[in-house]
Amino acid sequence: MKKRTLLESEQHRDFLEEIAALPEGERVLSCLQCGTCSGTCPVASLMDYAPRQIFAMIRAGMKKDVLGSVTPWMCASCYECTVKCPAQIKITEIMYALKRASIKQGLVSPDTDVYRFYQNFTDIVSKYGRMNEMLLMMRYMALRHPVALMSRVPVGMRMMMTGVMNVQPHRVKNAESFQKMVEKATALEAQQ
Amino acid sequence: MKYLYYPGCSSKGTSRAYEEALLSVCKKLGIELEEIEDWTCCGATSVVAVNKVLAFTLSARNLALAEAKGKEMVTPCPSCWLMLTKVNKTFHEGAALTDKVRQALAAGGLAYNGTVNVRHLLDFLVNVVGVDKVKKAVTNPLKGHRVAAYYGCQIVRPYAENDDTYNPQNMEKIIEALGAEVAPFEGKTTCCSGALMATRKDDAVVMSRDILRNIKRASASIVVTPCPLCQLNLELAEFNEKQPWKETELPVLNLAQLVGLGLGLTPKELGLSRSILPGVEKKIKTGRRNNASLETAQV
Amino acid sequence: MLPKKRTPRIGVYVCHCGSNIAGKVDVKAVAATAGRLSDVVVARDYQFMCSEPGQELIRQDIKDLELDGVVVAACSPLMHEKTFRRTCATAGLNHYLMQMANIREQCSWVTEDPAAATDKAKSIISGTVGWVRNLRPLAEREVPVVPAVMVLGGGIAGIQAALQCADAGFKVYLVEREQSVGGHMAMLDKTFPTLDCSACILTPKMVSVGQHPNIELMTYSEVEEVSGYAGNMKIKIRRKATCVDAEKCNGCGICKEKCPTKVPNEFEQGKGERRAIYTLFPQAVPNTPVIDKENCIFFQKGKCRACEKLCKRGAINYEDQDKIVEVDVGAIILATGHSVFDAKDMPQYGYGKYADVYSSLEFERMVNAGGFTQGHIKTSDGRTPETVGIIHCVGSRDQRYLPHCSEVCCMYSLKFAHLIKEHTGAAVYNFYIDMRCVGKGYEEFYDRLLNENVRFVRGKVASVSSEPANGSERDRLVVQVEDTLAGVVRKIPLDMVILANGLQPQNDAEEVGRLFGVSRNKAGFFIEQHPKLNPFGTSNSCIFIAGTCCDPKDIPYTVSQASAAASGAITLLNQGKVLVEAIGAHADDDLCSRCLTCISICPYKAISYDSELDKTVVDETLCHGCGTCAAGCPAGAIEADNFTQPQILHEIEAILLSEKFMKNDEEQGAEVKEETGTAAGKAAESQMDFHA
Repeated sequence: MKKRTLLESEQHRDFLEEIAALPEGERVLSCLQCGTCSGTCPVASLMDYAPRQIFAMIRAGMKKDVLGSVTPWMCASCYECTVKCPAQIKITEIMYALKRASIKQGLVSPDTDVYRFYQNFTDIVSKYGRMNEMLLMMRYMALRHPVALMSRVPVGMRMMMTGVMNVQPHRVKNAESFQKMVEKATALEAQQ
Repeated sequence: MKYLYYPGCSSKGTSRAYEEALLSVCKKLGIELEEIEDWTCCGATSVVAVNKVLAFTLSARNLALAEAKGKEMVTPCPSCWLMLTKVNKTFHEGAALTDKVRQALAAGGLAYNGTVNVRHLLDFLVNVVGVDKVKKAVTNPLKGHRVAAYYGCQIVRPYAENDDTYNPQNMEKIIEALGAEVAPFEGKTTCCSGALMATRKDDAVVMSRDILRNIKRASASIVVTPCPLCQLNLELAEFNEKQPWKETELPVLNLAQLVGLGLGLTPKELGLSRSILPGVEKKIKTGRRNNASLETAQV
Repeated sequence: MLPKKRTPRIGVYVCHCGSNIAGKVDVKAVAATAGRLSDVVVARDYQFMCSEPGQELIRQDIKDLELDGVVVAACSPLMHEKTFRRTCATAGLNHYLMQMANIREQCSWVTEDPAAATDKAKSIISGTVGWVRNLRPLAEREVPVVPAVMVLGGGIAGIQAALQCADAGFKVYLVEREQSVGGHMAMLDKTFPTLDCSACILTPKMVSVGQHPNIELMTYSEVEEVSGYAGNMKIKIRRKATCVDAEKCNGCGICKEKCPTKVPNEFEQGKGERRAIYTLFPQAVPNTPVIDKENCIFFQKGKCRACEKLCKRGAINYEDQDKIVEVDVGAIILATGHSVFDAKDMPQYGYGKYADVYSSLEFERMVNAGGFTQGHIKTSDGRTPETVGIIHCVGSRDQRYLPHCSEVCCMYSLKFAHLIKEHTGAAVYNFYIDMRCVGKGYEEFYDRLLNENVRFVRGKVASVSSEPANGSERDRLVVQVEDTLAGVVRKIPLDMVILANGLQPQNDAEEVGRLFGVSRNKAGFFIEQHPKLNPFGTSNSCIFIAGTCCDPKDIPYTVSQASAAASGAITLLNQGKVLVEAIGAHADDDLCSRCLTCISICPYKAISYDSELDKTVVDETLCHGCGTCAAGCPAGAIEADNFTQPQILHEIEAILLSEKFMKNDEEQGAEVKEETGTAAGKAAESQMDFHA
């Protein structure tokens, strides 16, 4: 976050209401800023803003900063925060909503590659129906992270040896109706 | 007993050993599992991060296919189970999302009425099969083993099916039924951060490693987990191409493998060699011997 | 047949209530319409009917225009029914011939559209006029009030209330279920913000209670049954068998010393031990011990009898039985106190799992010189802690457990911090969400603690776990928390953790509420008569509440509220009499089929069946006129005054006919006379005639 004086005219005053209006956003207005979520998050140290701070920023209308942060992408969906929140806010689900919103608004942080991983995953599943790890790793890492890919080779080799690595992706049988379903779902998602 | 079975993507891939062990165990216990025909990914974690309607539709599709065959379904993967359960709840609550999912399903020629009940494997073993039945079928009591029950997160949060969110006990019941001792340790529901293993490997490995170290302090000889991804991640934390087992020398078994061990199934039937760590079978034997010798030493 | 009445002369007064009503409803139009109703001789509108000039309007009209019925269209009767009844009574009109038409809470405040609100107001008033037309004059009865008070609960609230009532000259029965009075305050070490020793300020009051000539102290006793009516309550109290004769016992204490049975001491929160024959704490009032039959060897196995043998005064009596005592009182004060949130419900704090995680009361007893460590702050393995953490808001402000703030925890957490620093010099952390220091001297106390170098961390602790301490075999506690102000997550190792448990109702609050007919709110606390203007009364004019049984509060507020409750009771008792509401139920023998339905549904047990006379009888003093019996009677044989079937039907028909007015009002100048009752109404009237 660039250090600056926040001018109300530059913020999205309704950002908090927008989140509150989502099905996931129940009780988000009751946040006490107690910090339990940040304290209990196992990956808080990987985030640029801890979960509680994200909600404080939502309240301040800092839409760009929130949707452009790395935080939602680091969320491991462990649900510790959701279970321990005294206001019973569905924090994990809101993190998912923030991921999708940042994609939709074209604000995904350049500091993380997780989005591309999820998108690759979704593309593979949309095409074939089931996941194929080999395909995923190749797509995700081959061009962008060759070094990291190299470091995975020993594990990959071992997996091939033990027979758990499927080279050929499994294809869904009723491909046509499956594709229609995927297209319709994607169209409906875009409407939201 | 016949039950519908949803494997989940990892069961056919990196966690193939889980399915192998599961099918072997079910065969031994006289349970017939019918795999859902033409099932697909459930859409958890990755898909729901980019497209919620698609993610829910994928799960609803699997549920619709199951509904045509029956009402009771079991899945080994807690992530899949959580996703399918979430979708079921939305259908029961009749949320606006349900309409969209129905429309997408209809485009694919399917419909779901919300009647399928999904259980994860641990719940299935304890509450459908029954701990007693498992106990009676034990031919190789795991005496001498101290087993650490590592649950991971999504099997107890946000919903803990027939168990406690903070201090679940179902796996401990199975461990004792198999004749082993429970090794209590701190952090049995702490996240292994498996979701980050692909994108933030180094950080994720640190978290998984801490869990293993905690378990080691409890003098465990085996770690058991119900989640295929947790099993892989804990093993990855242990993995080192030059010196495997460098960290803690703890074999990590999935729930089906541990049960199968107690039921006297062979390492092949349990897919022990499929692990990314070599010599799991040997490590299990050594662990037992060490514990046994500790006991005799105290006498 | 009804006696022929002269044509009614009714006055209608439409209140603006500032803009509360007039802002939505066209009050002038409403008054004009009301003026056109049959039997309405005058209709006025005014800014504030409840004000002196407003009331004067009514009085003047009653005299000048010989009104025999008044409708005040304004707020809810709960607000001003009493006011306007008095207005009419002083002008000579029977006050039961005045009724209010609620056009505020039930109209202007809940209707969006002004035109709709105005129409609704017209209908409501129309109905009320239809009802008032057919009312009968009624009169309250006076019954004498018993000049005695029962105070339930012997904590500081009960003690304060009892002393005040007793000093005012009234007989007080102070009932307490434990062996001694004192309550939670007796468990405390020092009290905030003055750091007064709790026992030092409490025990003199306890002694006064024990010695006051007007107070009959009944400890080790519980209320079993409450009956009677306002001002004349009969209370059955079970005095549990103490097995020690109070007259003979001189409090030497040898029985307690020599009793071989040791049980966990509830007063010490289970951390210390007491004997099977015990007093709650050394300064107990009364000082007579009691025998815990469940743990006494003699009562369980028939052996021992050590106390009997050693008692030089022969005060032990194993034959002692529970006694039921019946007392008559005019007023009751409930001061039953609170219980503390059980932190086992929040497993992430490790209470019950780790030995060195303490609840607030456990720590209070630890630091108290009379407690289980004789006042030494020590870990479970006997060391003096070097770092201590205090976690605020345990259970409180949490949707899952206690949504409310427990008011006293921030202050007592600060107090703990101070005491720990004073006794041990340890590093102290207070983990809080907000610092709530709103009493006199409280903010200054916070500043004092800030200057004592207490480490304040604004963040609710996420978890308490244990990890191996550096270079040590022992595990130590670790707290993980986000320091929200510094913006970092911190992991802090501690030797000891103290939880600030929230305050919640007593476990038997539901039972007590039912016994006395006092309602409880969602959290389970007793509900006061009015949250702002009458926080110490209840819906029953003779039952008062004080202390933490109605919500968490500190000692000054508790004492103030207890005094207020005592004043309420004293005022009532001083009046010497109480008015019994005139509206009551009456049964028609001819219609009654003796099915006894009304008897089983009456919430006040006011109806009984006299088998000798073969009659259903309503006790007029117990009857509250609630109408439950009237609603439940399958034959329509029992009815409540001024709410009889004909009267209600008249009201309904007046509302239905008022629609005609709305239309006619629009066609200007049309004068419509309302019929005085349709055929149905008249038929109903001739059928049921109770007042001929």
